[in-house]
Parts: sequence; C-alpha cells; structure tokens
Amino acid sequence: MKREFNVPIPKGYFMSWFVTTQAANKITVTLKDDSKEYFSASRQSTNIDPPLACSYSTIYGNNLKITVDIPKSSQILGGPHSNDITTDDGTVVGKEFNLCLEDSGDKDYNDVAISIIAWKSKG
Amino acid sequence: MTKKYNIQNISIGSCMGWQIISNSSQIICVELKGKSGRLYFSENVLNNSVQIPNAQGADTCNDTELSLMLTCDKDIKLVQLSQDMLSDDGKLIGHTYHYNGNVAESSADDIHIVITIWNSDRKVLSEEEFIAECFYKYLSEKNRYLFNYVSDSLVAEYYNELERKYASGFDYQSWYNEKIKTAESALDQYKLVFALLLNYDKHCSASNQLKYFVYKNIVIVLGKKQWNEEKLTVGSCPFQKIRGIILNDTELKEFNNVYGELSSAALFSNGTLKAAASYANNLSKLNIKANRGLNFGNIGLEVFAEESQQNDVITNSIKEADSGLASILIFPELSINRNMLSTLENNLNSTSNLNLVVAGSYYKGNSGNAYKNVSAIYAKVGGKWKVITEYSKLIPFTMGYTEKIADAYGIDKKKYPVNQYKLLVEDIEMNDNITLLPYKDCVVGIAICRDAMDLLDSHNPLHKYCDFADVMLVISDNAGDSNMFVGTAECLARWHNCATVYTNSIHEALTNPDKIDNHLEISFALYPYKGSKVSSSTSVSGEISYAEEPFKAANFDPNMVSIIYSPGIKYGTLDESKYCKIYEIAAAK
Repeated sequence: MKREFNVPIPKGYFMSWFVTTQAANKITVTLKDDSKEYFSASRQSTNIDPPLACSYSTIYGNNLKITVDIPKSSQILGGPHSNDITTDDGTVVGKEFNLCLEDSGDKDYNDVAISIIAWKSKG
Repeated sequence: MTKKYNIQNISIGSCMGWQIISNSSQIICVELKGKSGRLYFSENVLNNSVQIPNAQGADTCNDTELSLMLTCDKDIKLVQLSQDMLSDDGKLIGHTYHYNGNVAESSADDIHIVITIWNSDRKVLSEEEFIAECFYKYLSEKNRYLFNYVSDSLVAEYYNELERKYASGFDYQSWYNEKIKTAESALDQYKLVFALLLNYDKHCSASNQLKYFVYKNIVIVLGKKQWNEEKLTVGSCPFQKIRGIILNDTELKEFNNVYGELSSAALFSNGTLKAAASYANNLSKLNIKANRGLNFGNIGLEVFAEESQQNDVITNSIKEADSGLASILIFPELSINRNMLSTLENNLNSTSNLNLVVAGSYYKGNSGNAYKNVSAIYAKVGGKWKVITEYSKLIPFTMGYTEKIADAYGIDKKKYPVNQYKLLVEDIEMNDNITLLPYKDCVVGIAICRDAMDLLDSHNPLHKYCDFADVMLVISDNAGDSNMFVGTAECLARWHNCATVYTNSIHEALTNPDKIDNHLEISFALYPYKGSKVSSSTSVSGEISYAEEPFKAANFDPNMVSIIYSPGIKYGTLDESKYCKIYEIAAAK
C-alpha cells in the first residue's frame, strides 16, 4: 500500500528532516515537491538505527509531499500532525510536521517515523 | 498591562469558534479584532464558580489577520500553542490557537483561551436564511443585555439609516456586512441586529396567512400575529410580523411532522376564535394511589380518572362544542383514560366546526415506574380526525402528605409512614419538549397544569412559547391554587401577545378536604385586547368562569374586583348541568 501526505510548509523555508523505520516489510519514503526530489530511501529492517534519512535543504518548489510505500502491507495507519513555531506575539516563524505510522496489527505506530522542522529564514 | 497576539494567513470566509475559561480573580478584558477593524468579541472575564466557559461563540471570519488582546491590571504570563488541523492526507483544513496563562504569578489564577478557525464551503445565504441567522442571534443574546430600545440612540441611528435606504428588494445582508465592521462592542453588534430586525419587521408583509420556514434548528414565522398589543416591556418581543423559536432535535422533528398536516388549516373564522373548555362534571373524580417510594421522603403518585363518567363527559362535551360552533375543544387534565380515547375518536364528527381537540391527559407507562402525563392532540386533516401529536407534561405537581391526605386517598400508612414521608409527587418522567401546532392563521401551544404555574421556574415552557404562540391551551386538574393561572395568562396577554384558554375539572375545583377554596377558577379565556371601557388602557380582555362567583360574598365591595383583576375581564358562573363553556376570542382589528 502507498500513502501520500501533503506537508504544509511553503516554498522558501529551510527544512531539516529525520526519518526512521523499523519493520519487517520493505518501506520506501520519498520527500519531494513540484520542483525537486529531496530524498527517496528504502529499507527492510527491524533495526531502528541508523536513521533512514537525515538531512536538510531549502524548499525550492510548491506542494511539498511525503510518500510512504509499503507494498506488502495492506494498511498504513496514522495521520499527520503539524504545529506552528511562533514568536512571543504569535507571528509564525517556523513549522514542524510529524508522522508516526503503523504498517501491521501491533499498533505500536513506530514502523515509520518522520519529523520535519522548517524555518522561514535560514539566515 | 496589555498583551497582544497575531493570528495570520486566514482565508476570508473561514468559520471561527472560540472559548474563554477564567479562574482568575482579576478582571481580564479579552478582545479579538480583525485587520479591517471589525470587533469579533470583547469579553470581560472573571472567575466563575460553575464549570462552564465564561464566554464562547462562533462567527465567520472576514479578515486575513486577527489580533487577540488581553488587558488586566496585573501582569499576565501566557504560553501559546498554534496548531494546524490536517486531513488524513495532510491537507490543511484549519488552525487551532491555545493561550494559557497565569495572572500575577499565581498558579490558581489562570485563564485559557481557544480559538479555532477552519475552512468551510459556506454558501451565500438567501434573505430568509440571513434573517433567520439574525433572529437566532437576537434570541440567543436578548437576555444578556438590558437597554430601552425606544430611547436608544444607536438603535435609532441604524434604524433610520435603513429607512432612508430602504426600497423593495433591499439587500439587508450586504448592509449588515458593512455595518458590522464598525460596531465597537458586542452590545453595539446586538443593537445592529436588533435594529435590522425591527426594520425588516416593518416592511414585512402583513399577510394573515403565516409563512413558516425552518433554518437549522430555528423556526421562523412571517405574517401578522393575531394580536397587536403594543404596550410592551423592553424585555418582550417588539416584532409584530416576524417571530422565531429555537427548538431541540425532538421538538423540531415533531414540528416538521405536524406542520405537514396542519399548515393549510385555520382556526379563526371572521376574526374570531371559538374555544370550548370542557370542565367534565361534578361526579368525575380523580383517584390517587401511591406508585412507589422516592428519594428524600417523597412518595411517587399515580393519578387516574374514575371511569364511570367519562363516556358522558366525552359525548356531551363534544355535542356542546359542536352546537356552539367551537373550532377548539379542550378537556381537563387526567379526565380521559387511555382506553376511553376510542370513545372520543368515535364521537368526533368530520362535518362539525371542530378542528382541534386536546384530549384529557392520562398516565402512560407501567406501575412501579415513572409515567408520562400525556395528552393526545387530535386534529381534523383532510376531513378526517387523527392524532396529530401529543404533549407530555414537563413539571410534576406536589402536595403535602398528611394523615388526612393518606386517609382520604387510601394510602398505606404502614408502608409510607407519615413521620417519614412528607410530600406526594406526581411520578412522571421529566421531559423538556414543547408542542407547537402551526396553523395557517395562528400558532398554538399546549401546556398541562403545573407547567403553566410558576413563572420563575426556568423550566416553565411558557418561557419558550411566549412571543411565538398566538394561543396557549392549558389543561389542568387543580384543587386549590387559585389565580396563579390567571396571573400567568395576564402576563402572556399584556406583554407577550398571546391568548390563553384554560380549563380545570369542576369536580376537583369543588373538592377540597378542608373546603377552603370553593371559588376557584374553573375555566377562562384571556387575550390581548383593549378593555371595553373607552377610557381604559388595559391590555387584557376575556372571561373567567367559576362554579360560585367569588365576588358576591356578603360585604364584598364589587369595586374591589377592578383592583384585583383588569377591568377588561368579565366574570361569570358555569351552568353545572352542562359540560363546556364556549369562549369567543376576538382577533385584533
């Protein structure tokens, strides 16, 4: 099964990402927008260590999306969570986006963990 | 000090909901304003001892940016959380903003604010929908503010501007959307809605045929009320041609069912309503038995009518109502047992003038459990009589439990010792639903006995019915609480443009173990109408009927009557050989 998630972080932000997997199934995670693919990595391992992907980039395009593909799994459970990072007066200066997904029946939701944090300005 | 927070990147037209909970002993002013200058809310909050929000509300956001401001004499420290609301696939559907903080570094003195903004495909409202939303705001907030609209300068300013601009097809919604941006407080926003509705009411068609429409959970009626008593308080409804009522889900579902049956039928004829109030007869007694012991020294009662007279009561009441050309017939509370309803049905004639019958209620349920005190309501639809709906009594009656009462009703004093039990309570299920009958020329409401007595009880359904119903039909079995019903009916007539037709059981009225109150009202009809005397400014007319007229006692100065009751009201005695009194109620000219 494959699921695609919109990531509500706009073009121009500077982002870092951290992705881990630990599952018996092969899992492929891809992060891209309409101008660039930032990473695409696969693993089939129950070892959480090392992370699947861990890096950073400026966001160059619109419609940033993350795709999780687990062909041997009939379900991918879990949903996205997204918070603003604000100044003291509520002005938004960054975003965080998190996903913890479950690919089978044990409901530990640790089969795929994705964390993206992004800032409006990198200077 | 003042703290300010920005909320940005809002889509115009988003839905917005908010809530404020304060445990602080300091007054904190919380305001939300848009970039356009529009004030969305302004609340002064202080700790409350009940576990509900201090303030909450909802609106449409017409700004792309908002500012939340908190002002307090002492220092406030707040943390804020700003969170996206995402669909399962990460699409942004809204935002929620939480602000939580302490005042003057006291952890017990805190305040919590939540604002949620989300996208909604809201359609442009039709004129009817917009007016319904305005009336909803009016009904929801009218008890919050006290001001005299007849002398208020802002109400006058809004109203007069509408008068200058009004033409057929005027766009009230666009005018409101412009004006709301400059309203400086929540009270000013309310006055804007109030003035708009006043103006809409003025230009609304004065048709005698009522137009009903339902919008979400509010029913709006357009068209002339049967009464036009304008001597109103600042608290009562000032509108003559538009009215509305907020119903719960059960009430709304039942309203829609009944509307489908009644909306093409009329009750008034040539400007007059004839209502027959059956008072049963002198032999129709009620029996009482203990149903079960309840909490705190109370005994649950079961009350039922003795059967031998019911056939006579039913057949003669209908005969007299028919010959009196009444369109309504009401029976006393608990006067027709369930198994006698078929007798009632068999005696209702499709060719008579009668259109509406409120059957004597009965206890619906099983012994040993709570009952419902229910009145079946019959209407003639397409020439055929049917049960159109029923009314279930809301508020149980109580009476004292004494040796004399126990003996009078055969209550087992060994099972219910008098020194352990103090009250007899009508053992009915509590229920909170009113019953409306929407005719094409009037709205009718129903109540049973105790429901229409205590005006200060917030559960009294008259709080809901008043300003919406044209006529209240109240059935009762009352053995001693004189004139409370008349007092309530006078309020309805004087201040709320509503008539009342009331009936009691003549047997119950004359049966009192202590023989104190033999001059109790048996039935009456009171309605809004200027008194009969030319110089009178009274707003109530009608007639009250007794078994023995109370004002002819020895040495009673008849001039005292006009001090006790309005000069527009007549008094008379009933013919105890009959079963009904026919009342004629005149509509406003």
